[in-house]
Amino acid sequence: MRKSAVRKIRNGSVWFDVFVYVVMFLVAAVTLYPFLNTVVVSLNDGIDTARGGLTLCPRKFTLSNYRAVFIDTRIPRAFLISVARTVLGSALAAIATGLFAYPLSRPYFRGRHIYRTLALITMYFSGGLIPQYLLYMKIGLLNSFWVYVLPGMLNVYQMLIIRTYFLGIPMEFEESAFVDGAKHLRVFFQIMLPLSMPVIAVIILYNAVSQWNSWFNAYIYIRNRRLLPLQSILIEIVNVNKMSELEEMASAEIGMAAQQLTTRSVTAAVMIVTCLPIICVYPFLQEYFVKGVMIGSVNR
Amino acid sequence: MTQSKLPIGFPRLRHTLRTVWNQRTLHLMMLPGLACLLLFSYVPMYGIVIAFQNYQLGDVIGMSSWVGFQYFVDFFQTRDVWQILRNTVAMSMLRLLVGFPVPILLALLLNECQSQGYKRVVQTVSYLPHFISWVVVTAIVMQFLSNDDGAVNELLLSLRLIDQPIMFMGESRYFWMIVVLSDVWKNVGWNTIIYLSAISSINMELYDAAAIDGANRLQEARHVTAPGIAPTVIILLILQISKLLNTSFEEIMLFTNDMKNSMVKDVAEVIDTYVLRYGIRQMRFSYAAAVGLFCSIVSILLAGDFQLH
Repeated sequence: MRKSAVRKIRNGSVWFDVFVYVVMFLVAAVTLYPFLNTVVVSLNDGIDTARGGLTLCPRKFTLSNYRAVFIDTRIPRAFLISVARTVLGSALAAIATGLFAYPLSRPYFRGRHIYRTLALITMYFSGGLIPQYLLYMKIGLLNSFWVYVLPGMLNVYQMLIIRTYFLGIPMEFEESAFVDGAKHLRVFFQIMLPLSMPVIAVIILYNAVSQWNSWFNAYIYIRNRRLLPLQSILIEIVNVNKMSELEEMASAEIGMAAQQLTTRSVTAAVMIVTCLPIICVYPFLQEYFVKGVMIGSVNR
Repeated sequence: MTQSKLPIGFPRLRHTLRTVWNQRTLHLMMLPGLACLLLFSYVPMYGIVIAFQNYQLGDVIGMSSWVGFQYFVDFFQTRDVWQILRNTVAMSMLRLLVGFPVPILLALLLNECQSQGYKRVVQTVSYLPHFISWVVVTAIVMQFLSNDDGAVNELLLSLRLIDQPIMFMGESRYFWMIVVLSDVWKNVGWNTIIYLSAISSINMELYDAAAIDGANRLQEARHVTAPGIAPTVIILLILQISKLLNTSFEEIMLFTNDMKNSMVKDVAEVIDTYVLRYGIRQMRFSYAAAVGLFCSIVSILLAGDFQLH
């Protein structure tokens, strides 16, 4: 990254620069516009939006779309489920993956090759959807919250990344701790984990984002509607048929004419609520993640 | 004397066992991960046997009656098989043709940007959609393509390119392109990272040499940067080719509303959606497992074959 900044560009024509700048601007605009437009729609009066022509500035500002979202009983509940699976899922995965990576990174650990091979095989072969489904059925993970958390607890790729990081930590730290009478668990939690916080943070963030964004496992494995995450509720709302129910409920409670809330504006509000946590952590995400991709590519 | 008569493995075994016992904390630390691995990865691998058996709900897995390759034959004799394979391969090929070069071009372009600040802003913006869920992204795309007041139709109408709004989601001929372009939109910025890091490891002296030889910037990009990232490009291309039969599963499910959109069903059904619908919805577990197994064998063969070359 640094080096390319050093590169001095010569023999450049102005037109080439203009071309580069314009295309880059277009890329940024095409990426950002749909989000900004959705924010504007979510903050604009429904009927007014239906007149069309709404771009980057709300014409008739209102918060009633958001009010409608929070009156819907499904959404606060789904929000909690999403938060729970994000927190639990990423924390448990980080602990299990770290605990698995530590012994594998110790050169004196007997049997590390067997464990490593066992883990590596699963990167290339998997049973596929149907055997997994049958297994979850047999062990009672269908219709259970734990189906979000447990199956993804050990990610072999992430485990290898952490292991590489552990290998880079000088053995002297560990040895001096052993001399002071510490045991492996203590070394792991008080020396290895704090020292590898950069990589652990990347992995926790990565898992948190994918937990938050995940809808597919709920879609396949969960029938109990009380366990659905926010993303699944958004799908229901987008697929209009469920919409009238929400509109009626909301308009009855706020005491507005049902027409004032249109499907489109309430959908936009739900979309923003769904994205908001991601957008809030985005500054950290993009900085850490770029590092994460680098670590990953070095590892490969 | 008695010592030497013992089998050679015995003291070694005792030594091994003692080491394992002394390192029991380390083994215990691996236990949670190992349990996950065995239960959620290896047990389903064993579960593949049902592809060769007539599994009925309630059977113990592996104890059903054997049927051999019956279900594979069945799959290739169904009416839809060629349509499904065509859709799967067509979308993968389109993704390869359109989705693969775009991040490379964008990375080359970003590399030519003279202002570091501007470059960083554009990069930060372009990563954003990667972190947004497919649920939101498909909802946005469907809204923008809607024939009612979708932005794309409004733009095309105001430019007088069309005089009737197009039903993008209601006509099968647009579907593949919508799937591929949404994927490009979501991931293009993110996919540039790996190329940019490859570019940054190119030796600066090569640029100096090219400049002395009188190369302009386009020629530098063509003759220095492009060959410099070629190895990275080839590795990623191989990875992509091995995913020939793994299409954008989530995206297709969301765009078609679980195949309820009958207008595009003929072009949207791919192997993954077929396995899901037949296996889990219709409970034809053995049949669907066989179809899934066929798909993963092809992937493994493709990956292995290309890695050899």
